[in-house]
Amino acid sequence: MIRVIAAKEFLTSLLTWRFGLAVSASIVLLSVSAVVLRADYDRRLDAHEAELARIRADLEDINFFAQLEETVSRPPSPLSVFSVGLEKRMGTILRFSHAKVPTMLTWKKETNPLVAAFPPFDLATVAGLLFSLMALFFAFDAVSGEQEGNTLKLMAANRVARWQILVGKWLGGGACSLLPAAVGLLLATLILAGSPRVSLSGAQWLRVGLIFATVLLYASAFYLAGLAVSSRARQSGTALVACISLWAGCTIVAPTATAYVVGELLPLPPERELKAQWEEINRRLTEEFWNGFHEMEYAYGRQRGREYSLFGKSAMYGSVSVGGFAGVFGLFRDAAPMVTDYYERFEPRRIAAGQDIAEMEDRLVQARTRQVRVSGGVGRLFVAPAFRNAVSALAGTDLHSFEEFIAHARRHRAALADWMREQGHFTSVRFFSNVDQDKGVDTSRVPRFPDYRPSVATFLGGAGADLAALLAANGLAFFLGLRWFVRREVG
Amino acid sequence: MLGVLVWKELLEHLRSLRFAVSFGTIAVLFVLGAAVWNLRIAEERKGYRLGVEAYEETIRDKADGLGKLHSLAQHFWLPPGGLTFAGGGYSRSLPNVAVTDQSNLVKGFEQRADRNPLLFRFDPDWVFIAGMLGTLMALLLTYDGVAGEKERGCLRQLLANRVPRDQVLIAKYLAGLAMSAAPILTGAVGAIAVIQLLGEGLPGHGWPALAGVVLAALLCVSAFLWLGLWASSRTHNSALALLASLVVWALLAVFLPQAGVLAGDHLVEVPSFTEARRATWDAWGNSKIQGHEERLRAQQRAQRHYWDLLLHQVEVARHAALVSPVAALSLASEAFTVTGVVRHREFVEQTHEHRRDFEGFLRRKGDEGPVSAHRLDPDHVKPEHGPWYQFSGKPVPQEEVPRFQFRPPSQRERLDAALIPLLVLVIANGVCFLGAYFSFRRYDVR
Repeated sequence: MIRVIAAKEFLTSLLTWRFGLAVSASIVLLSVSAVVLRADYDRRLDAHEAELARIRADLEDINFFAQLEETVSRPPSPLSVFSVGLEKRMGTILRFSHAKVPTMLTWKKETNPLVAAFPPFDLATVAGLLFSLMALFFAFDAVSGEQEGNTLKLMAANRVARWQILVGKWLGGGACSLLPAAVGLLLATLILAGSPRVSLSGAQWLRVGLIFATVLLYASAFYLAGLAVSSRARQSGTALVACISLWAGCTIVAPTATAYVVGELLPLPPERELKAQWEEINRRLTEEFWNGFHEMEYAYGRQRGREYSLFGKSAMYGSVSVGGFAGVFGLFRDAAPMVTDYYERFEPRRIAAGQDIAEMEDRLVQARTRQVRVSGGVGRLFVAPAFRNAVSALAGTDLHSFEEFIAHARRHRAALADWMREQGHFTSVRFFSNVDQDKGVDTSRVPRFPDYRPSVATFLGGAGADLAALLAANGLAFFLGLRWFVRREVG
Repeated sequence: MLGVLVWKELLEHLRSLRFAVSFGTIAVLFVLGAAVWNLRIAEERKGYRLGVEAYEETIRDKADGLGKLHSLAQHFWLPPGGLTFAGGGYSRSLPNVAVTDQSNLVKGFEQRADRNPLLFRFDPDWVFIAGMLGTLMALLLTYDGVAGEKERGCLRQLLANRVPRDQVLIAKYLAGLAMSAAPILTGAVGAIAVIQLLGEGLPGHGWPALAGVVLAALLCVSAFLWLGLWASSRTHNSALALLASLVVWALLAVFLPQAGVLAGDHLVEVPSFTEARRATWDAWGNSKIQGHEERLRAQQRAQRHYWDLLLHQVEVARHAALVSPVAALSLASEAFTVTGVVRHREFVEQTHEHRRDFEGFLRRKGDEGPVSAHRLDPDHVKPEHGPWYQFSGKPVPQEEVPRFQFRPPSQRERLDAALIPLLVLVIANGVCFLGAYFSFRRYDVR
């Protein structure tokens, strides 16, 4: 019987004006968005490739190991077309070194930072508004409309359980309301995949599939909510107004209010405190650096039997930050053992200070991410934020993905520091000078930044809670719909 | 007859669920938004005060020698807008500090005062509430104005009387306008009361600006009222009219304003930050440019060009979305309240202006002393000054050192900036009115 009801619902919905309008709107809006977003992705990819070329060129300019700075350009995700997430707000460039630990504050933007101040535009924005609206429009009169047309009474007069009617309506009407969404998404994906610059791997196609499933789960939740409202309302006009209110509440009011209230109520540590801590660490390190430097200078002078200013401050290239003696070293070659001994002592201190700074920055980042997580957690109650977060997680543009990338970069930094130590670079003249060398540092043996290829499980892990929230919303809406429909007077 | 029709429509709206829901939501959001804003603005003002104090302290420290002032890196703070509760224009995501370096070059515009770039949020200001919810309410009030009456069979009866069709349409519009304006005006009065009673109150120039925002909001809502009536006059099914008008709403209120930002990227090419920095260095190292001062000017020009391009790109992006009445409301409000990109543009201009003033001050002070050469102007070094890098150690009265202070534009300038968006709103009203009018004239009431 469920199959019969579902087929009837499907055919009835298919032949309505809503279906035609929904398919047209979905095709037009999603394909136009896909074209615009694909062009945007191409531009970001150009910027990434230009950055890679710059990084390669900069690597050739390195004269001594202390100058070795790792610059990583995070490639734009082709799936960011579905949800751009934090990709434009965070930036794509990470610069770190053996003594500088990357954190979420290290991300740098090469593009116009003013543009990132405005709301991001992606397929999830369009789909989130459009598909929820369509689902509600397909469902608002599924029960109350049938009662107004006196067909509900006829249907209920048969030997069919109420839950079967509801399930039949969900399967038939729901399938019909999901059809425009599926067509629009498919078209958008084809436009994206048709680009010669986009080549999706098997894992990426799997993630696209999961994004499709998320969209369908989301639209289904709204369809079931519309069905529940229709089962509760006496008149379809009332159901329509209630559905639109529900839609505006879930997609516009609640996400805005949640982020706003969470942003106001969960305080961030004042930036001035962070700055003061950073200055304190830096002051200590600078002091230590200069004390050690002067000790070395006096020792050199004593060795020469007179007060002797070894290098002069002007020769200290960036002092704490780079620590190279570079050019002028050629004049003082006999000081080499002293300088290498100095760096052997000082570099571990600098690395430790880098970790102290990273821990301090992490505390600020934790406060910021707490706001995002609480906002996301509360937002799950309103379905639309859960949908956006799930798509963003699957596209690899959410907070979790950026944190994972930072963790990956930190592992590489630790490996780089270990490699430099093992190779004895801190105790070598090549660490701070290029004297006696025809060319700069041979960077071919320096450990390369390994490709970051998280598994599909990592993305699913990021989206898990939001997908669970979408499933729960489906369950709750179905339960309410069933409860109200069973109690409904159909006479 | 018009009065009777308007009265009938008003009573119908007043008894409807949609009016109750929309009125409650919009009015409550206005007041809540103002209450939370009160708490937030106090924090922002504190952050601004601390920033300005640090800036003053730096000047006091360096004023004991002209040479020190020459190499002073400064932070200019932009005060938080006093009317952001009405039209924030994403001000909280835009820079609020300008940083100059030791060479008096504008190094960058940064975002300070404990803002979280990870949490993107729309502030529920008047523009957001009226632009998103007020316009939705307008559609909810009008979608069945014609098609719904036909479905119920009352339109035929109504037009059987000696009532001109245009009067019927205008009555529906006027009643819808009154009902849509009611929560906006009530909410605005409530919000102002909250700010006056619980906060520091409105700045003196705030009243005309707020009136401007309300006017723009009503014009925007009015355009959507006409749009709803137009959709309703094009169909014989009220639900279809609502779905069609909501799709258009999504296009105008969300799609176009947000996609417009991408249009800016297409239309204005901006170099990357690294490229811009290199261009500045190249300007300094350009062997064709003779003299220290000329090289410095070339650097300043290169930097200025970059900052201007960034602004231009974002301005083009926002204006590209002007076909949407919601985007027009946003731009008009930013012009009235001097927030968002409008405020940032003023900040950038005034930063460059102050930088020039500061340089002029140093030059004047330098010329007063016998040993006054300074590195800003080594070409003017006289023989008695000694080497050009010999900075003057002469103290400068600290009260004479020019301070950066943001000056909001005059009311006239604000009105000028708001004219184009207001014109767009008027045109949107005209187009939707004509659409509704001609559709209703030809509407088959049988």
